[in-house]
Amino acid sequence: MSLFIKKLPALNLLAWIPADGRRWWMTGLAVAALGCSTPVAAPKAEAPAEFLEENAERDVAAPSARSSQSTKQGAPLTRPLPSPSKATVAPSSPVAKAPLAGPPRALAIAPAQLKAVQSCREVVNRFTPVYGALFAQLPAGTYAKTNTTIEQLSFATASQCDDPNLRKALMSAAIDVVNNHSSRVGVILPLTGAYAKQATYVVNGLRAAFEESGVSFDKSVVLKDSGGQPSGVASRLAELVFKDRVTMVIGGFEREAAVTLVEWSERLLLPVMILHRERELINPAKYAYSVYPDEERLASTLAVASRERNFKRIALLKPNSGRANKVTDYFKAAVLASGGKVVAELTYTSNHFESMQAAAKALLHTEMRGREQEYRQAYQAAKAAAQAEGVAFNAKMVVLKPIVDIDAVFIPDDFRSVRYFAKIFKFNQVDKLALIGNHEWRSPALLEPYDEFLNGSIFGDFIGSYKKLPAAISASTLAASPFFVDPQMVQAVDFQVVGYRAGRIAKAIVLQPGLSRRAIPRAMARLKGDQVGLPINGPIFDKDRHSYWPTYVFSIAPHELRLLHAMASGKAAAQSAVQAPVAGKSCANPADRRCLAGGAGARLIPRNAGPRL
Amino acid sequence: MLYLWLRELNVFDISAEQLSLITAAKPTDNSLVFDRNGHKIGELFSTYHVYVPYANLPNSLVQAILAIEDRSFRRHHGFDARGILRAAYAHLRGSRSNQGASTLTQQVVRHFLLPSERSMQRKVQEVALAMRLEGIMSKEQIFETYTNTLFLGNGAYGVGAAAYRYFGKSVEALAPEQSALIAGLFQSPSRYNPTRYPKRAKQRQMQVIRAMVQAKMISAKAGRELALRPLDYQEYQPANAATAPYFIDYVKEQATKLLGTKGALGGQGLRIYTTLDGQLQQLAEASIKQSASQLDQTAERTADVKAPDSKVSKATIEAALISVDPRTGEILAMVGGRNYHRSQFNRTYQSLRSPGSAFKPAVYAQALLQHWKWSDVMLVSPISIQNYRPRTPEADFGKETTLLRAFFRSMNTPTIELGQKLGLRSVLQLAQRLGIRSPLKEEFGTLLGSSDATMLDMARMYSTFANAGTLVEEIAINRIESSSGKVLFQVPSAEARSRDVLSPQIAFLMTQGMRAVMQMGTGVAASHLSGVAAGKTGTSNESTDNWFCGYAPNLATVVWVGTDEHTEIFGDVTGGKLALPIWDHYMTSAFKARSPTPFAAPSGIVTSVVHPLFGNRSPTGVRMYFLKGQEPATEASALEVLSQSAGSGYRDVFIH
Repeated sequence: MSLFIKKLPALNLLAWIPADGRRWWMTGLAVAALGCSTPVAAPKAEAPAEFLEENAERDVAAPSARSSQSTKQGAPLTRPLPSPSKATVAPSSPVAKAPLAGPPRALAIAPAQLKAVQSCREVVNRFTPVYGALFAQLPAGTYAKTNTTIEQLSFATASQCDDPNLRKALMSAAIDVVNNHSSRVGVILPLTGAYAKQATYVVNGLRAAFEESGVSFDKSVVLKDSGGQPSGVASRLAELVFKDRVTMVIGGFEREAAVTLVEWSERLLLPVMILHRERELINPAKYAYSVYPDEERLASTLAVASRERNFKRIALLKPNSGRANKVTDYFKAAVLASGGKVVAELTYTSNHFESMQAAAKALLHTEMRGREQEYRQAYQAAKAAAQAEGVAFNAKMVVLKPIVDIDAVFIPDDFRSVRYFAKIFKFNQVDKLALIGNHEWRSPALLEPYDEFLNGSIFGDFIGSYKKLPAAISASTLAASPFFVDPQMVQAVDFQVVGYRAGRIAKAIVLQPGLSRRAIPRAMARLKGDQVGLPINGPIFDKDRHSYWPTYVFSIAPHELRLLHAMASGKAAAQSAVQAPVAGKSCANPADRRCLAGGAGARLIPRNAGPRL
Repeated sequence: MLYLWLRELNVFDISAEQLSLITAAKPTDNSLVFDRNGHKIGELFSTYHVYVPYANLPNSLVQAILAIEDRSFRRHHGFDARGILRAAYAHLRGSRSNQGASTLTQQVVRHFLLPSERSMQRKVQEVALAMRLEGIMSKEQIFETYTNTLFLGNGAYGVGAAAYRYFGKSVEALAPEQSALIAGLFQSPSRYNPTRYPKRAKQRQMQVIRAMVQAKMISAKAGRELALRPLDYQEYQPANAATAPYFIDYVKEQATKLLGTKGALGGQGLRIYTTLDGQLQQLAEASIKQSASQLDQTAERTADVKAPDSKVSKATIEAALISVDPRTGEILAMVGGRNYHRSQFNRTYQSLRSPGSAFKPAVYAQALLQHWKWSDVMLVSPISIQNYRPRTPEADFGKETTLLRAFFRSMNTPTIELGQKLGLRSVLQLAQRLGIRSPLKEEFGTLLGSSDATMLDMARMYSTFANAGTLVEEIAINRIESSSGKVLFQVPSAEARSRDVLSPQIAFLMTQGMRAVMQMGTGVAASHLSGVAAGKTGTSNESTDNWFCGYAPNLATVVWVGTDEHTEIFGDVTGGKLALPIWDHYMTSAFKARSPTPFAAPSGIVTSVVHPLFGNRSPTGVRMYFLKGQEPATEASALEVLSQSAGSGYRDVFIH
């Protein structure tokens, strides 16, 4: 709230609240700033088509140059707007939610002009408050290029739209504010705080994406540190919009930050790329895009691979930490969708051996409950055997024969837990049981020392061969395999890849000459993998603005990994596997999810024929 | 008629052959056992003989014998008519003569050739044979035969033996009054046995002294002085029991095997030179003794033992120790039990016991042979092989360990798992090559030491590690000589008894593994020796057997503690708690006598500081040794990265 006040410390707050209703949105903001509730509804999160159409021609021009021109060339507001120094209130909430109230004055307006008037009113009613609210988030003392304009706009009224001259000046000013960008990319990441390390890796990936083709990262990208505080995101965004005048923003690494960015994106009509696992967060905002590994796609691809292997009865063993809940849910749904059956769903505590043992025993029905008679017999037999051998009897070593009524077990946990489960299964006299896992399995420690039990188990990942990653991403592979990198580098590579992808897309967009923010959605929709050098055939984003992210399925062989599925698609692939396996089928519709990355559906490589890489 | 009677008695044609039993009689002597420094530590005999040649007999003894038994020995030709008459006269008078009727020669003849019946016929034969013997043997020979063959009581045959038995000294060292006592024993050893009848023995000694005075061998004054001197008897302490009784038993068995004789070893006068180090033997005995109170307290925690008479009691905790020079195979010390008098059962080689984890070096050595390395990682969890499920403390389950840590913490399930990967048979074969001669059961429990072995087996195995992978067959006897000095057995050189089992590099790696046991593992109680020694604990099920086997390059020592009844010992009892203190005490003191040489790294060995759980290089890890080229290449471990992820997983890109 205090930003304006900070900038204008001598203001008489109430003196500038107008008595009439023309500026009552400011009044609303003032009330909100004073801590009172504002009895107004939030603006609809939709961009007015008229506004876009009216200004489409101007959007084509180079944003920065054109915007400055428009300020100079556009007709000045004939009625002087109040001096910015007299502005007294500032909104405290991230987004001011006070629309202009009151119907426009009934003036005689020619029908031809009506559209323009309505568009102008939309701008005044909806966008100037939003930009005003964001402007209020600027840190104290921050100089913004659009300072004057935004402050002038903040005193505009819808009635001014009735006057052609005023309307023109007002719209010009609005465009100057809204479309004032500089072909630069803003990045808001928690460069300090709990996720600083990961955020830094993302930045490294971004840098790699820009610099590998000779584009200066420092000139093209403006980095802002959210400090790991969601409340800092709006402030950083305000700086990027008003001070750095960025074309688009990348961020949303943390959930709260993602929510904030998506909300502002919708209201500002500002393109943002969200780097967060919850892809559905972007759904309400048309200018928001998700660029992140896709757990749903991974899960459905694994379901395809499972079905291909005739795993029909599948059990789910998931850690109770919650981090695997989503992928488990996705996998469960995909299995059910493909006609499989989830026969058990058990949770355990990772790194807690007894908990894991208990889960395994429940899965294999080796608990005493319900099998008391059998247990008693086994107990007596073991005791007699111990006595016969003259050794101590240990009741804990009495193990009932397992009842294996499952074909495979899905364990979305790290390689360590998987290995212990394999050992626990063996201890429970299970000679062989297929295991299915996610990217967390991938580690040289999964294979060495080699456990025969894991032979043939599969897992999915977002990265295939590390050798095939862009050279700009430092991913030195271990000598033994192209599928492993130095364990200390694993996280760095993952997040670099995320940053790299976002960087490639952003670079491709902002370097397009004369592309306005308003044109970016269309450009994004048209963007294809080969244009940005990503291993995606066809469009990068689907209709929901989620970037395609391939899944690679690996099979465990003695002392090595085998790439089972070169690429795979998502939900559609699971369905296609049910309907008709499409191995090797050419892709008729590149937009189909099954056709991503050069593969139709799950491009299944026959078992045992996987490349030994 | 007299002639005919004499002729019938063959007194006129006695041949030399008839006397050959005497003339050709080999002097009977105890076989003596010496330690490596030439100190006598034992005697092997069936009847106790200490042969003393005539020349070595002290004059006082010769005089005393002659005075009381045969004053005219030097003058007569086998019999003494005057002596017979004198005896007959004394007999008729009802008095006693200070001299016997029979000459020494007659006594010799009687002892060797004639029955014990008393008859005129036998007396005539005795005289005739004595006369004939005098023609064949010199007086000195006859005297020597006499003094070395006749029974003198208390198990002693001959004056040499009697001198030891009654006075605890050699005959040459006898004082005149002691000689007089021994000289008096010839007439009736049992009657005058000084240990049983000291008064009678004293009277008999006085009789001898009087006879010497009468024979003017000594003056009356000297006789009185002699009679007044006290007789300082010493209770017989057999040398065997004094120093290394269990070892002497072992040597006796070994000598018998080496010479191919049976039962006659004792009387052959052999000189057996052994490998025993008297000083170390004493230290070994002392080390076991100093643990007596601990062992006795432990006995209270043993299971009850039912005696044949149905009485229930606590078992006795026994302890045994064997110490060997790994470079030569020489047995330097051997203590087969806590009390030889209570039990002569030699637990160092007669007892088959479960070595427990002390067997594990065989498993890990095979692993290193098969290119495993100390930094390799195992995941600890319960395992099941068929119906065999070894136990490991459950606290270890669900954790990782390097091979080295599994070894120095003596973890069971990783060892079994390792053995499974290596192949059971390959491990057992290596164990046999390392020196375990006891049969090993071909089952996985053997990897944890469930197959019985002797302490000697274990000493052989650990000596092989100590000796850079070369097994030198153990020996207890260096040389055996006959009584005449002829060498009957000479041990082959160490090289001839050696065979390479492991490369020096693998042996060195094992040594470093066993040093880690003492630095931070189950043998940490003896960590002060870890700079110069290495070793491994062993505890069988229910703590029935508790071991510590360890070594320096010049000394390998195995200690076992348990009960002969294989009873369970309750409580927190392990080899590290019962056997290790004895080993520690012994080695600490032994190193003062035999300074340990450091373990020298052979070529091709490198060292690296490695995370003890995850096997990667880590500045805060432990030092591990590797064959060059096998050291961990990277500093990172996925397991370590995971362990530092604070629950977020190894590769959680959805962390936020």
